[in-house]
Amino acid sequence: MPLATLAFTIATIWIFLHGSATPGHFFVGLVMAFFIIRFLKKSYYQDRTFFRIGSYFRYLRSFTWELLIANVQVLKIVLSPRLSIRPGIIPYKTVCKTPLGVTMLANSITLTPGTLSIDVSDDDETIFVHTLDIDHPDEVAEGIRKGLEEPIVGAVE
Amino acid sequence: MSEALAAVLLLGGSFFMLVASIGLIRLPDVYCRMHAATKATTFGMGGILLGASLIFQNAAVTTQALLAIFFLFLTAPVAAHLISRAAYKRGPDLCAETTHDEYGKYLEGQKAEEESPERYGDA
Amino acid sequence: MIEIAVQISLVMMGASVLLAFIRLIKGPTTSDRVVAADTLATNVLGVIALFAIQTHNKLFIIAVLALAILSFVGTTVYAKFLERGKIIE
Repeated sequence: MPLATLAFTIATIWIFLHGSATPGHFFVGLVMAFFIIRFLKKSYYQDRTFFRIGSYFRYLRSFTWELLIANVQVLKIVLSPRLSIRPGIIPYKTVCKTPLGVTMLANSITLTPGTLSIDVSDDDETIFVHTLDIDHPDEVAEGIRKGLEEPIVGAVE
Repeated sequence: MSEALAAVLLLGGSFFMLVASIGLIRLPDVYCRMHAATKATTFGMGGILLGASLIFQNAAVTTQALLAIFFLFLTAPVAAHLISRAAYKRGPDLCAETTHDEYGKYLEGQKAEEESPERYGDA
Repeated sequence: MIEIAVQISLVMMGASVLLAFIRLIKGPTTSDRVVAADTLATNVLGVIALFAIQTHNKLFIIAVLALAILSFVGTTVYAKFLERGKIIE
């Protein structure tokens, strides 16, 4: 998003944080936004994909669903009387090209059913995924591709 | 109505935190424990903070709670990623049930690649 | 009703803190201890949020936000220590 919009967003968040919506507080928020942007401009990753709000919501819906399944699965595994797990580390080839896409994918993998990203290879192409219960490595990869990678590619790539 | 929902959110949230800790005790190695610790604690904190914002019914508190949830969801996977990678490099210690280990092969390949140019340099 | 729910939740959180603490003491490797410390930090966040509800004091929610940020920094430093063996180079 453009820097001016970012400044207004930060000022709005400041008003909500403070809990009193007066012009004075909005002005304080703008001054703080100015300093925040000034110091962090170098590491701000600017792109135009922010405006694809529909795809963001699709990703959010998919992610929330996977998060619910993930927690029910953890519940089942942890509370079952006998532990039946077959853990392992498998590689996952990603089609995401941008740093933002790979980061979002790796973070989402960690929070979704039975998978935890351990490392990303140097060329940003392979994510090493620790899986709690491997039946078929291909099935795990297919789940990640359908549930997470496609929405992410739609949203930020 | 919103009170009942808040009570359910609080109880569910703390129940998932408890599940995370039980998982921390029961599961066999660091990586499996991290599964329970990362997923269930973030989910549980989300429930508790949403419950809190429902009870207080105050714009400031709701914003703070939502920001805290957003921040937890952003940082928990990063922390898990850092710890598990550091744990692997320190000494894999995979549990006996582990079936696949492709990351170990990748690291070995990388090490061989780093060493080979020097060998050519000597010769 | 909320009071009873908060009481039960606090009991569950207490049990959870205790279990994480057992792992912190036992943990065969240092990595286990770091994971336990991370879980312990999040558990404390939950206890603070529940305490805010119990005492009707909304200032504690800001404490949750600040501690969430601090605990992430702490975990990052731990991870760096695990990987390199020293914190400041």
